[in-house]
Amino acid sequence: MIHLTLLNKEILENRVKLYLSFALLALLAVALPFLFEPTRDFFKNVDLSYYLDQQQLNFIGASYNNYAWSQWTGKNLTQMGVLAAIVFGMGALSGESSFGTALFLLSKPITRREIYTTKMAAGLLLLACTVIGSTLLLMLVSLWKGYPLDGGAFLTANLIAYAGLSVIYLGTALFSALIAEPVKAGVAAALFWLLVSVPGYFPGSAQYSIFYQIKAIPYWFFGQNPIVPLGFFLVLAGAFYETGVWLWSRREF
Amino acid sequence: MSQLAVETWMLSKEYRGHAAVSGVSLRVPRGSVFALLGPNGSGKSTLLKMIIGVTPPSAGGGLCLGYDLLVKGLQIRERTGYLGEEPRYYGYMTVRQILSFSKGFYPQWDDALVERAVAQFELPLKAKVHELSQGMKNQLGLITALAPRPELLVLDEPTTGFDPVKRRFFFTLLIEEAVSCSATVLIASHQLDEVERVADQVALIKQGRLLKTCSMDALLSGEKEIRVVFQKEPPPALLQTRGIGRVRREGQAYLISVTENLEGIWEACAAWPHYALETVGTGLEEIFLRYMEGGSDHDPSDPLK
Repeated sequence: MIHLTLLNKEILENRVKLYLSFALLALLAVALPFLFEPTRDFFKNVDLSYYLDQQQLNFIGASYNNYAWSQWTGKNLTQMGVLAAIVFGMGALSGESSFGTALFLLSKPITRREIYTTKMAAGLLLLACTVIGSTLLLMLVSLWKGYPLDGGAFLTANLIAYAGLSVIYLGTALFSALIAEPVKAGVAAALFWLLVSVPGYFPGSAQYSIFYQIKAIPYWFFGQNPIVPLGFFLVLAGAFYETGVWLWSRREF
Repeated sequence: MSQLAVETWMLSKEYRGHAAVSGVSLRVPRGSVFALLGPNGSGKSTLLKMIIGVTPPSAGGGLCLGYDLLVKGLQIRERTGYLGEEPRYYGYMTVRQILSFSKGFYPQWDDALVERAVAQFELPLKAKVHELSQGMKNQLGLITALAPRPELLVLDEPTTGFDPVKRRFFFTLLIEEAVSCSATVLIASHQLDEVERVADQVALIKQGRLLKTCSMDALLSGEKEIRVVFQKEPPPALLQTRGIGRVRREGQAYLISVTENLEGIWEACAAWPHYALETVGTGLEEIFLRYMEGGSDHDPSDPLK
């Protein structure tokens, strides 16, 4: 199902995106442990009650564990990861259309499903390198700085985040299969995800937002079994993947 | 094994209500060099893409190398080398990387052929593809199409951007390699002089419809033109003799296109008082232009006519 020659080409083609997204997240990952104490002091010394309630301030300052989760999984990784997933996904299929290389590829002995599957595998691999790689870097720097971090829980939360970002990637790729221009596909996907994020802005419906799940809030706060969000993301990913294959198989070149 | 490399029946393709290809029934004998001739937008490229299973037909069907082109596209492309019109490659790759990338899709790959052709075409292996001229891209495309030693070679306007020397070499290489591996060549081209030299079968296509398909010899020997200057106007019946395709006036002369019954038409013209009577040599170009300006004589129920 995965064509190795095409996989290599996809990785070669997206290497600059990989370097940039990893560099950005790695920078944030390295900075995070260094900013723990200044942040805690800042919270103590500056009146932030207008911006954050006391419960939030207490939570962030309570332990390095909570600080790392809130600033990494709950903020940096979600924000930058979503951007990376959209950037990786928007050109996955539409790049072949816009650069006119689709016919060259399709004339090779490879099925459209194989092409789609290989491209998705390459994108998910690159996303994993970015997300998991930078998370591991954060854990290493935390260890080096001597901060107590519950590695198992933190890694699980970030695996949930990665699974959610994979859904963002596969959903964006769907637009890429539908729209021939990568930028237009990216904008359409971004608008779609913006629309999907709307429930997250209201306390009553926040749990129905995919971004709420990507941040692993139910797992971190309420001890939800990680299988639940992972299963939810798996079903969504499967639906996006099959829809994408269906759309891509019907494109005329 | 079938004697036909490609056989289609009533193959059609519509794009948003516009018929790109209409009811094409084609038979390409194995081992032949089959030329598909037609003006731009006549449906040649769409037909070729349907034959290799890249574009699904709207109606009709066919077999390519014995495989149903509706469902066995993968098997067809495993045995087919394809060079599309003005091929586009990944611009960031070098020539060497494109060759290596293409090699990864086929179980067999003739490295010696690649080495020889790259040297003869003087292709710079280290150059990025976006730096190549269109002619060089076509040369690269021909190499990637030939290297898997395909049973069928499908070439869509392969000599666009070639200078005459490279064009001659291209066709020489094409024929040498096709003969050496007993491949069938299906070629759409505007280079009528080269096509006339290398093709042994020909199909004429216009507005998505097949006008004629036959052997090149039959086309060239069967399609003649008589130029006659009569002393007085001939009777209408003379110009309606069986086998007359089209009649044009050029000054005082009549130019009579003959599709069959050359002797009978000649005798009928000779019997009427005339100043001059001669057969005009008709090459592929004249025949092509005649068909493209005129109508169809093709009977869809008899694709080999």
